[in-house]
Amino acid sequence: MSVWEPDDRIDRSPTVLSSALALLAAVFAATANADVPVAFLTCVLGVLVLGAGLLTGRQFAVTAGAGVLVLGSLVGGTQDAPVLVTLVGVATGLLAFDLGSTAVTLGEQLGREADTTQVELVHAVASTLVSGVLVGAGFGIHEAASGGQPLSGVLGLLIAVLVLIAALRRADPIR
Amino acid sequence: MNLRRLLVVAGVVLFGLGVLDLFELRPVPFPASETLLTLLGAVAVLYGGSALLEQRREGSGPAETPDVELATPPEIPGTDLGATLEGIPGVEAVRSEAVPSVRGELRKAATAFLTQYRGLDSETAWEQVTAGTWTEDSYATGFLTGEGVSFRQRARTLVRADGATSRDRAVDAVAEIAGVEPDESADSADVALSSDIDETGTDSLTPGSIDGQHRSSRHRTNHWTGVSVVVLVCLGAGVILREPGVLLAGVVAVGYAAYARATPPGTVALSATRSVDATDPEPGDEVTVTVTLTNEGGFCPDLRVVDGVPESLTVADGSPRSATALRAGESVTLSYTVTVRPGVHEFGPALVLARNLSNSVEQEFLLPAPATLAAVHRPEPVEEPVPLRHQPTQYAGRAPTDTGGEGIEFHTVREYQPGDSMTRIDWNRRARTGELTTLEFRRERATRVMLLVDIRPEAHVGHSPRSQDAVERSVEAAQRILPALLAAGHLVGVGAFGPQDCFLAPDTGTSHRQQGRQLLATDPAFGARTDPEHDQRYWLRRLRKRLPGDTQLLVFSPLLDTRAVQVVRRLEAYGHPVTVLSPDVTTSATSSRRLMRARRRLMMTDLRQTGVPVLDWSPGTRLEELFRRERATR
Repeated sequence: MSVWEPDDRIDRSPTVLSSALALLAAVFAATANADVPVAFLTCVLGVLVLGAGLLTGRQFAVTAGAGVLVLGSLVGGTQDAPVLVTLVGVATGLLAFDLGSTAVTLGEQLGREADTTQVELVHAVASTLVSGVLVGAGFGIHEAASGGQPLSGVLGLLIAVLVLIAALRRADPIR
Repeated sequence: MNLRRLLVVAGVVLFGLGVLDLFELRPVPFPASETLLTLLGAVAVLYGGSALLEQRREGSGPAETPDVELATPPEIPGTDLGATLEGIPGVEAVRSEAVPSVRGELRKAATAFLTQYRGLDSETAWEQVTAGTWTEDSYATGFLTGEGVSFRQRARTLVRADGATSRDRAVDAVAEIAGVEPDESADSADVALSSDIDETGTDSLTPGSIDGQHRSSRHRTNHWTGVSVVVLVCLGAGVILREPGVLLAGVVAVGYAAYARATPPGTVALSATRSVDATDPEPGDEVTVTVTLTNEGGFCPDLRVVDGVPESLTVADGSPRSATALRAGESVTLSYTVTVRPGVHEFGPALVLARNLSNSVEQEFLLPAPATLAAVHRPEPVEEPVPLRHQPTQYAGRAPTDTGGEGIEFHTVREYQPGDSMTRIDWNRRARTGELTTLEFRRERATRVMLLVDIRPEAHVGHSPRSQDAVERSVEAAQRILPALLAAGHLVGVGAFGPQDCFLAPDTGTSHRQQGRQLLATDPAFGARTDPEHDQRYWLRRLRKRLPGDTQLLVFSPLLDTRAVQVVRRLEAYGHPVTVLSPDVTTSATSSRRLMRARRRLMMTDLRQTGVPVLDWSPGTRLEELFRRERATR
């Protein structure tokens, strides 16, 4: 009665569905920035790093890849890309990070053999909806404020956001 | 709490002011200079950096799950060179050093082997070892004498590049005295696999890890760590560069952060039931296990389940893991098959990781779902007679003795004595010669045998991480020998050679056979390795008290340590003839394992010299073959 086979080791690589969706989001972020060469190239680098991270199951590479994607979109924003493109780039970059690290943790905790499709779908749909709403909100603010931006107003907004983040950091669900 | 409220109020007021100013409804009272803005942007970027560092320090994250699918592999003997050397019995002529070193211990070991296998007395052996004349191998002698190897030879080794250090060469040379040769075909994959397993472990979810009904811990997953950094970098950079697109990207990231924080972790109420589809499985069967989880609370968007498969079982098919989203009242079923091994296996609780929708918080639960799975060997008895030692009892049986009397096989003829049975008078001879003689037959008598299985932690070792350990092999052999001995008319008992309390006195009969089989199959003493809570010192005394006087012993032990040898010798000295059936679990994969093999040979030689027969049972051999060979050599 054999007890141990080397193939018995649990395959803890990232789950397939979330990995594929994360890559899709990353590619979408890159194509959104296709008009600005610097941003596009940075985004392509991000996609490659993210893909490598998903292949090897390394959370660090996934985070770094998504970070490069976001950075690429921001670079696009400084290079006169339309505001909507920057917003979509950053939002999908963050979405790629979310889905990618979901794939990594699901893989680490449960492995590829377990049935995880339902959870992955629920999570992906929720995150995609949130990113859509956020892009809409950001673009709405831009449209409303595009008449001209008094710097004092921006300053006020900036301080307001900082203070709200500090408040959110304290409003931690873990007590 | 108060500070938080204050921050929220301040944030909202400032936000309102900003919006007012943006839409030029009313001028804001404070001046907004360019430098102040740039400074603030830099502060935001710096804050982002510090947040990143802080999060990294926090260290909490997604919970780790154990490899429940795998059974704990047996340890391979001789992995640690120091421990292997320590267990080699010393010789009188050699004084121990104040500070034990590998070199010193190896010298002692070499002396012990030389004394045993080359017939030297211990002083000559010690001289040879210190002088370096006992072997041709200059690396080995160089290491043992402490002189090292000449530079030229060392350079030659570099060219040959077989990678062995001079210490390994010395260890191999010592093992070779006992006839253990390096084996090229030794499975190096096994060595790699065992170190691989040592790293990760295969710990199970044990029922002991629950306190109370459900133990849950709620913690952050750090899933969204990067987002607040993105927020701050976007805002800072946006302000410094005066880019509305970058600034607004910060708003998107803020939204994500809010989403991560705002989704409630919720309260999770689950119940679990487990069913095992076999009532009386045979070892080796595949049994389906089904676990059903029912959500008795509200909507759970993300449940990850790892079932508590017993540590002693491996999952054959399917996965004991699952992830699902459950609405209130819904339930999920996961099923998988396990390969049954002999013994009693208890299922642990299922580990449930419940996450909120945004994956920012994770709660851990242990859901108890008790079930046990017991499998009993139905072994065929050994077909060859078991090589026992001569020690008859007064009961009739089948072990032939050297004295004449009633029986079947002819033994001698002697003069008639009054009182001899009429049936045993040789009437043919009486008719021929008129002499009255009595026929003597070989007396056949039963023997009382106690099967003792070594279950001490030292015996829970195997020759490969995929193999059965010595205890399992011993129990399997005992299961086959027990019915064979009973069928031969002997009185047979079963017991543990170790601190656990497990003893079945020698007896005979069908119900006794059942009892013995059941004991070997299900007694926890013969099961997986347990922590030695039991008294290590007095078990031998207790065992001796229980052994009936004229009982011979069949000890199943891998014979890897001096303690086993000591106990066997002591039992022999107490008047119990001992036979040792020793499953070989040593390998020749690395030099320290070869030394372990040599050490075991030394133990066996030692025992054989005191008159105890030792049957060396290598992994591929059938018991019948082993017994046949043993009888041929006797």
